[in-house]
Amino acid sequence: MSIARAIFAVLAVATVVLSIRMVTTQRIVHSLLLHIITLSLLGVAYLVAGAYLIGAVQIMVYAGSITVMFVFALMLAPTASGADESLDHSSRFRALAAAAATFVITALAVLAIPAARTGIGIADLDTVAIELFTGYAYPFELLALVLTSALVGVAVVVGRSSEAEAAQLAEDGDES
Amino acid sequence: LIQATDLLLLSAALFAVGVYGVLARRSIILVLVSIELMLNAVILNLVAASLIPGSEAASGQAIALLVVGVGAAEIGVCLSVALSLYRRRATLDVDKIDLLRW
Repeated sequence: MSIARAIFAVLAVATVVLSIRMVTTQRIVHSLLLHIITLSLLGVAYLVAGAYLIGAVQIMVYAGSITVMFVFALMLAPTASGADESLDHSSRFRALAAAAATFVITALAVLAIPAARTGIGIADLDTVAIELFTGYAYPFELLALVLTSALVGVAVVVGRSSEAEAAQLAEDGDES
Repeated sequence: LIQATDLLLLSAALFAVGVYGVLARRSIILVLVSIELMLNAVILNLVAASLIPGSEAASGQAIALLVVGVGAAEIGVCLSVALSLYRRRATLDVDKIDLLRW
């Protein structure tokens, strides 16, 4: 086993253990912090595996901005962060069975891949960049459109609900 | 050296943990966090597929970058819907938000 593979194995085990802790902890804030650590470790695992661009994007976009959005959403909905009641359903053992079945079936499918087809040789940054801006140029530009429409959608959804809230407050004021 | 199988097994484990989180959690925010974990497993799968010899080596990573962008847009919209729901119903418990169920 090479050094890179050993490092990857350690990172993989740490990622899985922390992600399990993430879905079982009883504090929402802890769950979000573990989310940051899990995704950062996954980003480091990408770097070890040689996918440098994906690793950098993983740390910047997921561990950085997306988790910040989660924390913002949590702070805007304060009663959800209390530890007074359980964060899990009572039927969590059925969920555990479903997750175990998912893992077993997927792992069996992975292990059924012939050894000859599981080689190495990840593309370097130059190849990825050329592929992204030639073969995937249109999807890349369409992605900008998707992000813009998502921005407009967010503004519409939140703006409309705050209008409804204002109307509700005005009604309450009239009644009292 | 790192084999494609290593990445695929890690991806399978993360996806299974995400499945558990989606099914077991009651808060919408934690369900969304688990969905993010599943999406990360999918991205890992795409990167692993680009390791398999004979495949288009760069395509997997290029598609993975596009999926990252779409995932970011998805989470933004999901969180705004969750926030809107919280303002109307004063709860984020998925058991109590049964507006579309019946």
